[in-house]
Amino acid sequence: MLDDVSHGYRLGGRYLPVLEAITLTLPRSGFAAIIGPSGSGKSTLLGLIAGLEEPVAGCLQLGGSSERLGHVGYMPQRDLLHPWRNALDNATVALEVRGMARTMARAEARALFTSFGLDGFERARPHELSGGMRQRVALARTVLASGELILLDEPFGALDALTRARMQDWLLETWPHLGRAGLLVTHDVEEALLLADEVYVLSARPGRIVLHLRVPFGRPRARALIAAPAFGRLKVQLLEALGLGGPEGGAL
Amino acid sequence: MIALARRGLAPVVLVAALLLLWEGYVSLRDVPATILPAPSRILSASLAAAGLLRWHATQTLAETLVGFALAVVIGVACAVAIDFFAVVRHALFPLLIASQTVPIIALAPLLVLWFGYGALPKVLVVALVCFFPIVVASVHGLAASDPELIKLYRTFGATRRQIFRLVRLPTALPAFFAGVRIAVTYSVIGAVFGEYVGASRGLGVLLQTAKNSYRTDLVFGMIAVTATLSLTLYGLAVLVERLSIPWARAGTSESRPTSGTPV
Repeated sequence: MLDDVSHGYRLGGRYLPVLEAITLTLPRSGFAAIIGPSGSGKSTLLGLIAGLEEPVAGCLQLGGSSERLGHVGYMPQRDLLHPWRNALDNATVALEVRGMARTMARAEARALFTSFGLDGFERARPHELSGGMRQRVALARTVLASGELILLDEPFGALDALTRARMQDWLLETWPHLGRAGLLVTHDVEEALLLADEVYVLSARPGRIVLHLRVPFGRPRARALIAAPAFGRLKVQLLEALGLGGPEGGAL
Repeated sequence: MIALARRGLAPVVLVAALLLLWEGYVSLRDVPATILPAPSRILSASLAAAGLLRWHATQTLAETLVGFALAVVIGVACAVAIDFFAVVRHALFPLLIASQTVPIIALAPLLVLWFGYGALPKVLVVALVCFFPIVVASVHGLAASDPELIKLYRTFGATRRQIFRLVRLPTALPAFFAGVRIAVTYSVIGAVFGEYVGASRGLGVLLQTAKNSYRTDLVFGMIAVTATLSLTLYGLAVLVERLSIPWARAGTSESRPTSGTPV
């Protein structure tokens, strides 16, 4: 899907490389995670895949086509719900953009609300919902906007630790029913291992893939997995790839 | 509730106390009514001239409303043009700022010179006075959209026009109404000023004739009517704002403690 993609920006007449030679392929219904230090170009990478920008070099394709805007679901870190719309109408915005009739869009969103445990909150305004619920409304909006692929840009980064853990559990349970491929950007090693089938580790700027790890745990998975010795070993491996916790690292 | 009543009551008590002081001072020192009439005399003179005050006030109100409406329509259109086209922004914005340095006191007589003694020059003064706060507030509001939200809509495949309609316009409404509130407070005074410079009907005319004939009580009566008009229009603007954008007061999209709701 991404073949030798590089990207960067011009800054005061100089070229500032952000991403270098990124090659990765996402399986059709798999879930991959990208972890990397701040400034490693994770968000830039998602922007490229979503079609917000075109790479300076390399080839980027989605199901054989390079057209991405309007086909990839993008889940931002903040929920970005409109205060002037209720929960249900927040979820339908992408369908409205595509010109779908309002009643049809609402019917689609309502079905998703049921499977997301948002029944009865269709008419609630965003400020009346808890952080976790708002994030689920935002995911419903993303799912309705998406084709086969959903990008998640640190989707739980703004939530408190407990809500975050609950949302991860909920995502583990819900994701298989969505029938979409997922690409998660996070800097939480545990989150990546718990949720993903594959983990890519990016280096500091310019971001390069320094490790590609297949997560060997089967599904369905549960949170108890994080106590398994194999989980701990993979965690150490990822942390070392990030330059942390290694024999000579110990930056923490 | 009590706090609210207290907040509403406090200014009433203060105004009443000041009026009493005023009344007492005038009667104790025997100040001539042509210099400073007592509040009671202002009230009785205004009631006696109620028909006249109403006749002038309706003219002023009509000019204010038309001028204000004109300012909203042209102001919003300009704001949208400024927002949509960088060329317009670069060309128009410095001009807009510069226009505010032209004193309205110089402009109003010119408008009378060009457009005569009818309602048109007053409407134009009101429009000119109201135009600026509305444009500036609207431009500011249109630029206030979250860039992340615009990015999100681009991933939906939204066109610029759709982003404008679905994101930027609703986002701009609170700022627009803030501009409206400022404009409304200037509007009545704008009309009165336009009339003062040259007209046959309106509170500004009444002000001039009352002053020239040393009817200081009627000057104060006219001030009271002008203030009442301004405050009423302001109240109406706030009411329309609350009805149009109830969500703007309902809290932000940021997190709030909502214990008890499931995650």
